[in-house]
Amino acid sequence: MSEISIQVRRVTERVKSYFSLFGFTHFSRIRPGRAVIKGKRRLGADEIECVVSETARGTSVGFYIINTLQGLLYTIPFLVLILLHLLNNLKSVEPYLTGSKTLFNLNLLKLFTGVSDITIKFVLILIVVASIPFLIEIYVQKVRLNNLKSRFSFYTRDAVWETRELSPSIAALRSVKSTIAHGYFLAMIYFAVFATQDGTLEEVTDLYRTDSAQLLDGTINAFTITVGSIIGLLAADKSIILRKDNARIDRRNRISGGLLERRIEPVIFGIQSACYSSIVFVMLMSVTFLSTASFNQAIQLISFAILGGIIAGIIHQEGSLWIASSYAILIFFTSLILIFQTGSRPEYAFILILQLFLLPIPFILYISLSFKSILRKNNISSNEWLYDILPMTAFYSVLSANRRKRQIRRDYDEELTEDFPSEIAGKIKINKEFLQVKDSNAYKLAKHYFELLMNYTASFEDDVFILIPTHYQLENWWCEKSNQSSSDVSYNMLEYVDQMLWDPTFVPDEVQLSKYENIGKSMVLAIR
Amino acid sequence: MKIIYLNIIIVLLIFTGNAINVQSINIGDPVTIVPADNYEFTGRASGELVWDESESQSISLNLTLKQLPDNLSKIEIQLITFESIGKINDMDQVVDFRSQDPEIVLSETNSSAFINQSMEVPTVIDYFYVNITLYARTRGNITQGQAELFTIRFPDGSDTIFIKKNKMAQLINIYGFPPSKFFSKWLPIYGTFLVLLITPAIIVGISKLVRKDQEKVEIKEDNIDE
Repeated sequence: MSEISIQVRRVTERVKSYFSLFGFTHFSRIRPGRAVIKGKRRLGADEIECVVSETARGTSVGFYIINTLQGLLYTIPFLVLILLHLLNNLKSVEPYLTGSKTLFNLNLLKLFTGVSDITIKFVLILIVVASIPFLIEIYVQKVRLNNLKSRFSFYTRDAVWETRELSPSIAALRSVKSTIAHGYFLAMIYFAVFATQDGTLEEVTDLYRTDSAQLLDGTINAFTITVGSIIGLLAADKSIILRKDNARIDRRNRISGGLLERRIEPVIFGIQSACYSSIVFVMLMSVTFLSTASFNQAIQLISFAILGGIIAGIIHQEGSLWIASSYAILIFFTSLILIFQTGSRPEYAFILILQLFLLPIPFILYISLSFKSILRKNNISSNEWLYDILPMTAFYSVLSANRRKRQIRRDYDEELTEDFPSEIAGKIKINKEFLQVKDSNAYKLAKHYFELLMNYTASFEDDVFILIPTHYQLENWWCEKSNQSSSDVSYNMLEYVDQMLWDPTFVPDEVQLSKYENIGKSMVLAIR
Repeated sequence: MKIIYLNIIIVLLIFTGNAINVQSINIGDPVTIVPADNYEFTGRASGELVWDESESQSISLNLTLKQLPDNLSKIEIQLITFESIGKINDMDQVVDFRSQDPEIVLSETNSSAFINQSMEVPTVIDYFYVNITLYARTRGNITQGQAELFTIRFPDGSDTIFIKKNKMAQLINIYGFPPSKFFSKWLPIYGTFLVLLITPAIIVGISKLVRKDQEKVEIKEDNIDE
């Protein structure tokens, strides 16, 4: 029994060091006769778990995606629409949706959908549009999983795994969900006047000397021009950002920096993603707000979206303030197009005043970018929430990250009571008596130090040969990974541990030891 | 020297430009109306023949009374209407309608009257004419006569008033602000949209405030310890 347990323990240590090499955070549980090692790795928005179970019978390896259902959060706006339609069939709820009891005297159903009649086409298209983000999410996670499996060849050496690249069209479609929700809310702002009751629409049409049919046509025209270009701009910018993220994770896609790759590729990619997002948007709008629009108006929306995509591709490198400004500038220029038609189409005067109110939106979007700092504090480098009308996934991931942090802290506390990893410890001769005492501060401090070294090694690709880093390198790497500014404290800690491990005459002071132990622990936890 | 010539040319251009802008004023032929009661009544409308869209325009009407018979003491003009009539879709239609109640009384001693009416420049048509209708009632020493309608066309014959279209006004045509009733319904939706958009920033702000509070509490605790 004891022999088996020693063998299991040895293999577990090896698996753990492998996990580290692949950049996994890992937890191990060694029970009598069985060891379970769980490794987790975050790839963009996806979190992947690998579980290796070591028993006397053999080894089992499993790969799992943790946050598959999180993709459902993106479909919430569309699920609300379906829910509204279902509620409309209930007689007791109906007056609150379409009748006189609605909020602000607005026809809520018409405000949310633009139409008040339910068709099979409507429901089908809603289901298709709502499932696009969800399916893409699952597909992207599967591709990532396959990439990982192919690299994780310790136990699966005999199997042949093929890596699959994430196609650019899928990457472009990933940006669709938030821009569509953005455009959808803008549509509600544009078409709200048609959902009003008790003669507000008549008052508007009287004031602007037009009729409701002409006002609807003019609103659709203005919507296709302005919102089309905005959708193109946001979708292109977001998908370029996501693509960069992708390149950062998969180093084989790294952008080398030639003129073609820096300047021209973003434009082409921007056009592509603007096309995708606007086509999906037109699909959704064709059954809702733009149900009376002509084919030409749909083409107009797509072509203005492409224009926005080109602009985003050109100015993407200048940063998000430029994107926000060009959002405002696009509103201005599209308003100019409308101003010079007010002579023959008086209803544009009304829409122009509505468009004035859109001007603060880009700057609010820009202010919201500061949310990145909160995500960074929780070690979430995802950009999926950008331009979301309700960044549910980001809020959710912050909550889950905090939960995970508590878990990691608990697990690390447990881990500290275990022995040194034999692989690493074997390479370094440590024959100091105070280091042999478990639960002492010196023992823990040495463990933190090796944990940092191991994580440093793990942050490189498989085929990179790594020397033991200097303190300067290690500290720099730590600052970059934990998003914290460089300080003397962490550097002093590394110096202190070095002295403790290598200086034969060094006798540690207990006060300093506990101080550096705390620093070391926080450093380890910051990068996990 | 060249600059002087240039200046002269510019000054000339400005003057000629002003000269071109001078518009012809049509003083219409007097329309003499001889009703059954044997008095003579002359109406003469005058106004510009080319109306600028951006400027306000008016038509003036001169009324004179001649040969008031013995049995009549005065003529009351109770109502004057001005109808701008233009062709829309090949049909004569009233584009603008103005009326005034001048309460003019014409008699032997006070035999002439001057009426001025400001008109709106029609935007939907290019040319039109104005029909001026007088609603007059004779009044004798004892009896009261029948009310009669007289119509004067301005300009006379088949002439029309031309509208000089202002190019800018034709391009841009912005009416007033939308009614407040609409805004009371629309602004809540707009506000909700903005609040939803700004939620991330709000969360950042709240977390910063909370951290500052915590720091303050820590500092206080430190002070207590000391």
